[in-house]
Amino acid sequence: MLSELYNSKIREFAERSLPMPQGEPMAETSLENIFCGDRVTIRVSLWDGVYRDLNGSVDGCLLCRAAMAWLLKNGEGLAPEAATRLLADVSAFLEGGLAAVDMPWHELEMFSPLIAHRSRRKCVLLPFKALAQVGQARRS
Amino acid sequence: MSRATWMFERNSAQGQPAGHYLDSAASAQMLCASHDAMTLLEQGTRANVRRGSHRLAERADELYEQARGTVARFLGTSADQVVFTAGATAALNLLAHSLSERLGEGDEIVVTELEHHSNFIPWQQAARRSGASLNVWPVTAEGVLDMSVLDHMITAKTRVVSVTQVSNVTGLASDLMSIVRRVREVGALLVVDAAQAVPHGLTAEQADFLVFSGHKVFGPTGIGVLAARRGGLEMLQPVSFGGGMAAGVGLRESTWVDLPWRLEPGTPPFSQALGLAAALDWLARERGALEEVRRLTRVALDGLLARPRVRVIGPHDRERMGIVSFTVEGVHPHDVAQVLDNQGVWVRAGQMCAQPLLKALGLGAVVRASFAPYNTSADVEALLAGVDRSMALS
Repeated sequence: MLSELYNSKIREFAERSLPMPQGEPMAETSLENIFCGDRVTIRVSLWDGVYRDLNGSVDGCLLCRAAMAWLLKNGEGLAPEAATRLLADVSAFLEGGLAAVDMPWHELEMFSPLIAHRSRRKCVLLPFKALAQVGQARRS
Repeated sequence: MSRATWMFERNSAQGQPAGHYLDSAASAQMLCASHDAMTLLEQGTRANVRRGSHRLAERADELYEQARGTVARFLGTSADQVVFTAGATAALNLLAHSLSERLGEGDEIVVTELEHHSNFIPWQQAARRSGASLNVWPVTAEGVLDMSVLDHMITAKTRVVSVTQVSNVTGLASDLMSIVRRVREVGALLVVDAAQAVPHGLTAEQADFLVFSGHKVFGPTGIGVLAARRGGLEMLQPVSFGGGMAAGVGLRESTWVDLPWRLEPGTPPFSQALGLAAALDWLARERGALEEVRRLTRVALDGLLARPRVRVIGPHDRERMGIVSFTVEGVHPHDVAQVLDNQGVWVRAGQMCAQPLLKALGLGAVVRASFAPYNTSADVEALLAGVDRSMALS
């Protein structure tokens, strides 16, 4: 059970180095989960209506770190609206209401053990929430 | 009824919990005596209190007030100074809200960095409401109250000092004697959050006000206590309103019944009050069990300290009231707790509703193991084995 939750793919992502910033970000959002203490900061620039130069930092558990590494790798080129949809899709997936194959990124299947671990889903969602919020912050 | 002491013993074939429950500081397991006291009422004497005149209501009234008397004896105060609330948080909110009406600009409220959010946020709100200043008493790098600034923190302007008796992160008791002395010198009020102290038999005898909750003292959820000494309840005006607390209701104004009932609007948790009283009766009798909890805590502490990659929060040479919080180098506390859960060891990981303390200590999160009279050496061994296992995640 534990080896499923902390599968090799998750551990591989959790150990990845996060991308370094290429320039000054246009927007930045930090979020903290008050219960478990996970903290993420996401910095972005917006060019031609899509996110560029995604980078940030994470101080969190393996699941949060893996989610952050995955997001910074795959979020490049997303429009803010797509980031909001991605959060909704990943939430639905973790709640067991959406199959990974219905999402554009099959790699997120690595988080499927979380469907059985309700209390840990927030760890995965935190970076996705931060990316969704950084766009909203900029629009407002 | 079976002869089990704890409810979980009734729910397992072996009379043992299904795992190693080390999260009693969040919610303790329930005593059979507590459960049975409530069941007895629910089965034969269920009626609202302080309202009816039929014989069932009279009996329910009698039992409810007996429960209040039990709590009062346990705390060393009088029954008219005991208010039943929905929990410790509700008690602190009632207190902070009511006392804020006696405060104004120029007054100071003192809380500490040790506090649970329940004893922090209500005072932030009280300060905002009243115009008083909120002064936050810092901890040392070790995570204990910095007593060197005592006279600086509590001054002639201080009206209220609200402090935890036992930290829910470190399990260490505050130096209440020194705080009481200073509070008396300046004529302030001392509020003690005893939520983590009462389960270990500590009742802050010198406090003007004391709060605790039922579910941490092996009793039911949904009930807490606000108790006063030296007639402190006389200072409090109601902040919630409804039936049961009004002596007369006019179209524009209402008047209140006597204390403590005027601070208990609506139907009180009368069933839970009986469960709580039964739990306190048990605690008063079983002091030896509390000694064993402290011994087990010491064994756990020593075991954790023997592991070089483990950092225990707080000084290592002081007695802890059933709580040890720690981190494991290179492994996030949430991951440690997940490994422990997989081994059937149930601890808490995170910020323990004590964000100011964790921030002061530069910590994002901790693992907390907390012990109670139903724990054994096997629980400690399972904890230590699980911690060792978690190190493989780094």
